[in-house]
Amino acid sequence: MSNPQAIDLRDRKVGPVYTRHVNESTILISDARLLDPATGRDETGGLLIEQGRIRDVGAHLHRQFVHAQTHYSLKGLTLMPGMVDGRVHLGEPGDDHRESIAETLSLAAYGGVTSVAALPNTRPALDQVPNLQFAVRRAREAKYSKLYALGAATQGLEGETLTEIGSLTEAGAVGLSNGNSAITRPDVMLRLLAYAKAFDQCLHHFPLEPSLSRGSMNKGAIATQLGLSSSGRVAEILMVQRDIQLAKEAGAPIHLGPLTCAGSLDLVRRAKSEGLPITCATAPQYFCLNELEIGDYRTYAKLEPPLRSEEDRQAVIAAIADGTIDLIVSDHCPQDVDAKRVPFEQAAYGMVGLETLLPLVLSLHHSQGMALADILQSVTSQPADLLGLNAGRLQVGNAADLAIVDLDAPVRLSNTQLRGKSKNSPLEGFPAQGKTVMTFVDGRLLFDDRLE
Amino acid sequence: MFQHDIPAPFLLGTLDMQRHHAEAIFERAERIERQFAGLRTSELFQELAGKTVVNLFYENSTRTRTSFEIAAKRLGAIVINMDVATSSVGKGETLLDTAATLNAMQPDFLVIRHPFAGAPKLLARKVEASVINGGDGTHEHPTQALLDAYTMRKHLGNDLSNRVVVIAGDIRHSRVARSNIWLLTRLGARVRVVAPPTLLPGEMSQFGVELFYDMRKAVEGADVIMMLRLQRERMQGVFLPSQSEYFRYFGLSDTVLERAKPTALVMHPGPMNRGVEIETSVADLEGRSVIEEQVHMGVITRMAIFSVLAEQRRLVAENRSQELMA
Repeated sequence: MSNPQAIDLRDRKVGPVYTRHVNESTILISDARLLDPATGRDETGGLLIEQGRIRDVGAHLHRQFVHAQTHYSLKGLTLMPGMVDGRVHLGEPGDDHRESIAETLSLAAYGGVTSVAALPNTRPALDQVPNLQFAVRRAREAKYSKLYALGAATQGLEGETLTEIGSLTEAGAVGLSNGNSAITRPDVMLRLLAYAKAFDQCLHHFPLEPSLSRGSMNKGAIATQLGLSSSGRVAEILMVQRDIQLAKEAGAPIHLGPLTCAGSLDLVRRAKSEGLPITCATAPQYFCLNELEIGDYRTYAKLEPPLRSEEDRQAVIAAIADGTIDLIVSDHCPQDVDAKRVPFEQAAYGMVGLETLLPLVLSLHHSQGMALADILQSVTSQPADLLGLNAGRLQVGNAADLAIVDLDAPVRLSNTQLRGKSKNSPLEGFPAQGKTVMTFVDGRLLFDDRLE
Repeated sequence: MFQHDIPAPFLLGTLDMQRHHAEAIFERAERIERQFAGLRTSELFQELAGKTVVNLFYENSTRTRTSFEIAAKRLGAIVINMDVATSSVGKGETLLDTAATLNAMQPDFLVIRHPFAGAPKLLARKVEASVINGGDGTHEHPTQALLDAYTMRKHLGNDLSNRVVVIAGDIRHSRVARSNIWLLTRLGARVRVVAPPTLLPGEMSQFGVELFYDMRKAVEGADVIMMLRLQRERMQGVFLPSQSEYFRYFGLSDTVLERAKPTALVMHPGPMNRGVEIETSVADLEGRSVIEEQVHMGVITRMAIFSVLAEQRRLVAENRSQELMA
């Protein structure tokens, strides 16, 4: 059975367009290690930027042969495509005290993330065209990294009524999402998956059965000892199983995540081997930390889905290594101090992650020995492909969204060094390697660590 | 009962309590009980004279709060009961802001009961007072466990090694069960827990206890049967189908009690649901039920806890002043 073609909206799409703040001068970056995960390019060379776009890239680009208005010689540093973060919670509209859109995008720039896929679970939700346009406009005004919005899949994220998916797509939605509320009704889910095919939109679903996931942490001996309410992996496994079946029934793609446990990853692995269009994501916290991080009721480690056991952490690493996991997302979720400085059961879920995405992803290379190109695809070309963006590659003609990084610099993560006003990270003191040195968006230098 | 990130001596739980700490409280309780015998006034007890005890109860509990209040008053302390329902706490002040306010008033002891696990520890890190956990969520209720163990010692002798203690009821949601399990196993007792599967987390076996679904098997040869209160909201089809089915399989009746040792003690932390978890005839059984005695021992044990913590506070203060002079 083959599906009819999706409605062609190319001539009707209005945004988001990021062409107004282009650096018009020509820039040459030379003597850097060029790393393009999608093509496997890994050589010393240069990259030429013209009108904010990549004009040329390769070993032949050297200062002696190229004339450019600005020149950066970056010996010892690595030039890679700016990262694409597939899952970021916004504080604006509605909760600017946690983080405004401009702040979120500046943190992205600090972290080497040049494109951000924003979840629609704001207040109000991005379930109508004006709300979505508001977020995109704010992002454009901010002139930092780029924001692409995931449109709300259901009105008010209530999981009952479909949104105007076509109009949201025209307004620039790069995917659909229901935030951190799973769509529980199978009939709604099936119709949603089917309808979204007309607009070639993929649903990014958060697969956690709500009735089984009301607890504060992972079910097990530690929760029982701490006397905390808990929810088991079954909440995730059940929903992933159901989603795979429904996607199969609808003949539609689905993206699931963040996934955190062996059981659900096995299901995705099997579905992929059957050729189903299922993709999935995890977040660094699920391969760097486990439930022990909660210790004496540390609320910064209260996440949704919860940190799981050590076996699950190992299973996540294995699923990244074998390609079951397509995307690594930060799941950045700023929370103000008052939401976290309360008893664990009352504390809000979530952690900030945009600034720490790179060193944590690189830990898979430094500690687990995975190939650089493989793991970096999960934060560059693979999310770009899922979202339909011309990004995440060192490709001539693409926008010059670039990250210049020091892959080996030792860092000890520290919450006081986080630049955002929300500093809720459980990774305080985590030893890692790798840091962002410079970030370019449309050829504009947004961040230069060497000047700080 | 010291920890590097907590400023003052505390009593937060039994999980980390060493055996000699528990023994010290029991010995102090014995001394207090001896001195208390035959006296009707508290004049002889001035150990806490001039000290302030604040009862900070975020959950209603007349029994426990009164027990702490009487214990502190009998030692000569000034006791303040924070009525949380009408205070700023009810108006949305966070626990830590309350902590800062109370700390500024410099009380010596803070007794806290809170609906959420970990709240006493959060408070203890922020105040100079000694924090006593009066029950936190489904986590710990250490003073109840200490008074239960003290009551057992009086009947079974000071050595509880290999004594069989059955804890029956809503184990999943019970802080009394957790604190008792950790204290009693540390004192060498053999603890069995019995409950329907919906109220018995399998991970409990990692705490060194035996798990049972069958009440009659669990009480076989028991020295102590401790019944827990079943909250009404758990009975209505969510965790259990009905009250009568619960009593039929998990309640303590005469016929179940017959299977325990003939001298087995019947305990209950109160308040009881007669006919739900325990039959009236068993609850009032002369010579076997020590439920009222537990209430009396509650006051004695809490006096002992205040007394031991006060002594530790004096030692800490002396060390500090010596450090200052050196």
